[in-house]
Amino acid sequence: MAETRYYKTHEYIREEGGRYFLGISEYAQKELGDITFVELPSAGAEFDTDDVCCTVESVKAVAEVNTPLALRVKAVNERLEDEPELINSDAEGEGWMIEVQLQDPGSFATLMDEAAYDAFEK
Amino acid sequence: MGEPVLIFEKSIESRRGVTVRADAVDATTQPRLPAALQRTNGLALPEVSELDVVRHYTRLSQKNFGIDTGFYPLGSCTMKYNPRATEAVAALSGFADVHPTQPPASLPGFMQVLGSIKDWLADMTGMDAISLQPAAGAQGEFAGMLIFKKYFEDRGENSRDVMIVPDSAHGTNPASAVLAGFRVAEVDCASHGGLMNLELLEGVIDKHGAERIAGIMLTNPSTLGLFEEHILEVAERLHQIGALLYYDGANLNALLGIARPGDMGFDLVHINTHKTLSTPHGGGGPGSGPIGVKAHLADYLPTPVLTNNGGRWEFATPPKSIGRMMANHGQFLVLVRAWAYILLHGPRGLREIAEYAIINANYLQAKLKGSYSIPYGDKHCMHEFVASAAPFLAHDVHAKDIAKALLNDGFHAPTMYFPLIVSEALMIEPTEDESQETLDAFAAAMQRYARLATENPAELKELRNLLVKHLDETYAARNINVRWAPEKSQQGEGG
Amino acid sequence: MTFTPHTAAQRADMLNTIGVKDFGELLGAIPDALLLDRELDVPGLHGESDLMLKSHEVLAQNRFIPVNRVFAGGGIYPHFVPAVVDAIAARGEYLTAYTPYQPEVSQGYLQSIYEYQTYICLLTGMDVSNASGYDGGTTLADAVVMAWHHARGRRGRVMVVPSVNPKRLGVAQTYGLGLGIEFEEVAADQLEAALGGDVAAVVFQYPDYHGRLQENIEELIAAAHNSGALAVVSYYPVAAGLLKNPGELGADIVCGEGQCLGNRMAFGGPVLGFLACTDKLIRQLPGRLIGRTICERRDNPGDEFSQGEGFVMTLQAREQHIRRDKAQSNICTNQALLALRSCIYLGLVGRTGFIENAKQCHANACAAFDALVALPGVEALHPGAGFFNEFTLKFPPGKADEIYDNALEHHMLAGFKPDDAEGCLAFAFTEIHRQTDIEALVELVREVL
Repeated sequence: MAETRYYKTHEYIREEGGRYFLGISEYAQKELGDITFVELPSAGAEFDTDDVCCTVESVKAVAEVNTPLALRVKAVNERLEDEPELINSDAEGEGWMIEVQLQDPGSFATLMDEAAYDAFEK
Repeated sequence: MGEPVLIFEKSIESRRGVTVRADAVDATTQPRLPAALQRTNGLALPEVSELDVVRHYTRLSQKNFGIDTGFYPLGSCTMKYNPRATEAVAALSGFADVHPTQPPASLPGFMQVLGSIKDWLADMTGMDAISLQPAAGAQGEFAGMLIFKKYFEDRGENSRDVMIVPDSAHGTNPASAVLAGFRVAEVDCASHGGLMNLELLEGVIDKHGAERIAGIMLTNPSTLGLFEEHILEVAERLHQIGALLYYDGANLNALLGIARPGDMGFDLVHINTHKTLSTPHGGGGPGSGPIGVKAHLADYLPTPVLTNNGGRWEFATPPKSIGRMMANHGQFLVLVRAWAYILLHGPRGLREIAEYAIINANYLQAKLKGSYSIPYGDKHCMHEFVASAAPFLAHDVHAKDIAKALLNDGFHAPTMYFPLIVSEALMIEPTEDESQETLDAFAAAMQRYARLATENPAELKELRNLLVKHLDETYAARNINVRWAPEKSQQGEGG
Repeated sequence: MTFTPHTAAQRADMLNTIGVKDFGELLGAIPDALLLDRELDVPGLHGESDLMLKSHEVLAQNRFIPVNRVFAGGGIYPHFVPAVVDAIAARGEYLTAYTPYQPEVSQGYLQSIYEYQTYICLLTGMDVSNASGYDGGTTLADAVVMAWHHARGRRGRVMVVPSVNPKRLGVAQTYGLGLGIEFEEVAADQLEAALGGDVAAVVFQYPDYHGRLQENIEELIAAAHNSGALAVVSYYPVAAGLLKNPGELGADIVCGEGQCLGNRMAFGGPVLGFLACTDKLIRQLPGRLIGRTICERRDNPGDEFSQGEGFVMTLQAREQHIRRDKAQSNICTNQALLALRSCIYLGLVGRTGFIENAKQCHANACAAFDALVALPGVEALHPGAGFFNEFTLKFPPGKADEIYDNALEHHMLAGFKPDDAEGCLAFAFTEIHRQTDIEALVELVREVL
């Protein structure tokens, strides 16, 4: 049973079977337009809350992807190298960007749930 | 027919083009070229005739729009007529065929020209000292930011790292500030009538602390085409806390002979000669971005500056110079055109530029008020104004559609989606060289589009005359193709 | 003369439409204290004839040196510019065009610059070129900044192998200030030992500031790579006619001065900075980039559209108008018209002409070199070193100045004085110089010595 929680700058972390995946929300991908390029960190990299962990480039903008919770990168979504448009078509599913290990798994609950994010002013 | 054919694809082996020298060199021996470095690659340059080249680039030019072709109301770009008289001056061999290492003392004519330009620019802008070095507006901005940085470092005020930039600013402003090592504090002027004022300023000062503020970058008139009415108080307050003011000269066309940034309190200004002084845009350059400073910043100007040492001209380095901006002396032949332009106009002609720039813009604003939303249109504008196509969104018509409709009808589109603070923005700057008839034709077209937007959006989007459309920017970014490449066989061994 | 077309009647009519009686009412927002109460202090109105006569008067004060008597290089060279270049570049559709942000009406320009980008790649051996920079100095600065960003700011040193044009280096230093980049000159034979994990780039000039060819440059570049640094080469593209290009030698970024390709010396400006790199660095490449893409086309208005190809500005997300304070570079205006000229030039001379010109340059330089070093007291600054079309000679004390000044008196530029070599003159030769021109130079030097 997967659970997705959101951050104020429109990133999400999805917990699925004990694994955590980070990406940008459906709202964010719509704002950006056609994604043309994604810059991902290397496996093993560590980031603190609000550090920039990835960059997403579209035709009209470049967006920095912020770290919602202190984490370490376990793996990156290699498909995004050739298919950055996955973020447009399935931002919160196949368009995940990095698989992470949370420094403090307990902090996951501090992120907004779906209802709270929907209500969140954008 | 229609598919782009590149010059490389017209190549026929062993065809030759122009002959520069009749006596071709044998040179089977290349006595001073180390063997390890001698060329073995095929050098796949094209082999075409002179006529091939002439036709190729002539035909390409016919697919291009220029000021010579039609109306170019690009806001903040000042696309005014490029006089051919100034081109003829710049083409004179005496100007164009001089090597940059030739000593200035042997070129008193050049020194006179450069000295004159400096004096005139100083008077036009109300500044004390001028550098003609920077290559373009953006480089002038960067130089300005470096000067501010060094000035504060010298005074031991290293805490000053915040540069204030209004939300309506051109992208080069924050980019230049950051390149010089500042942080940018963006101010929301949009919600406050589009202008900078004391209240907004105090807000920023409070937030960061007076000792952190380095200065502000302002365009006046702003990119909304409005004169920054509170500039004197804003300048006074900033100077009071020890900060400096930078003037982005993009909109100087509105002020020529009317008012001067130096008098408003600006410490440093840059001028875009390719805007205000009509040096040709050439498809994207060259421009030139001279900067002017008040006396307290003169020591920091980029090197070299021209000095007259007892009647003998020399290049010198200002005592606290930020360093070099270009390898030689700046965009010399561009500056020659500016010199010629100023001479053609004289003082009254320069003032007339600003007057008609303002009259033309206000005329268009008056004519379009009924059909477009003009967010700040209750006031008179200066040389440009911003219309919004936002009301047409309900009919799925965007600023982009209005722009393409204009292209279809033989006008160039205005600046779109800038400034960022106006939704579906169309920034319109007619310039002083356009006649009432041209403006009437443009206004009539724009009024027609406004009508079509609500009554028949499909007809608006039809674009009957355009021969090419929907150039796919997403595809271009996802399938990067930025050059032609020869077939492998062409790259082989060569002589 | 002025260019505003309004008649008095039109002015009045327009003011009426605006709803004011008097132009002054349009200045209501400007505080009275700021309104200028005098005319600008510039000379009076000139007609076109007045302007031309004044220009000739001004130029008559100069000591003009005919192009074939200019023997100086240092980045700017007295190459010949065929007539077609001026003729085409003067067309209003090119000269008066804005940046091609509206691709539908700019296909001509966009294709020309795509071709220019291709030419730069062919000459430098790189994969990608931008649409031009300001000059050879600022593009070197761009290259160094690119290398710094590539290392994500973790490598703060840049090594410079002598001899690199000090003016270009000066510009790179200005740009490096904001990033805290430290520049360090390291002799070629000490490079390998000096390299470390904190070097972002090693800068080479090829041929170098003295005209010299570094024979083992490929090995030096490999050494840079072994330490994780990028190799930046500041290049003179005319040399591609006879020499291996920097790409073949392993360069990652190639920059330089393209004035030599169909542009006038112009007292140093406007000229043409070029900047090119390998594929992997494309996202670090500043400046405009023209890309080929799909579109819809038709031959005539009213025809059906069909799928085709065209050109657009691409990867604009890197640029200042989108990235703003996150932009790596602030460049907006570039040297588009000069890039167009070089594109026309390269098609005009073509493969055959380009190689012939290069041979002529080299042959002229060799003939001059042999004649000059045969003179008493004259020696090469770098004895035994190879060169393409430029070399530096050392003269007996005081003689270099004397030769230079004497030449100037006789309407000749006898090379230039390198900033980093006392008592020397650096001479350059192009396809313009005839045997008689070289003899005149040699004769003058002989007389002074």
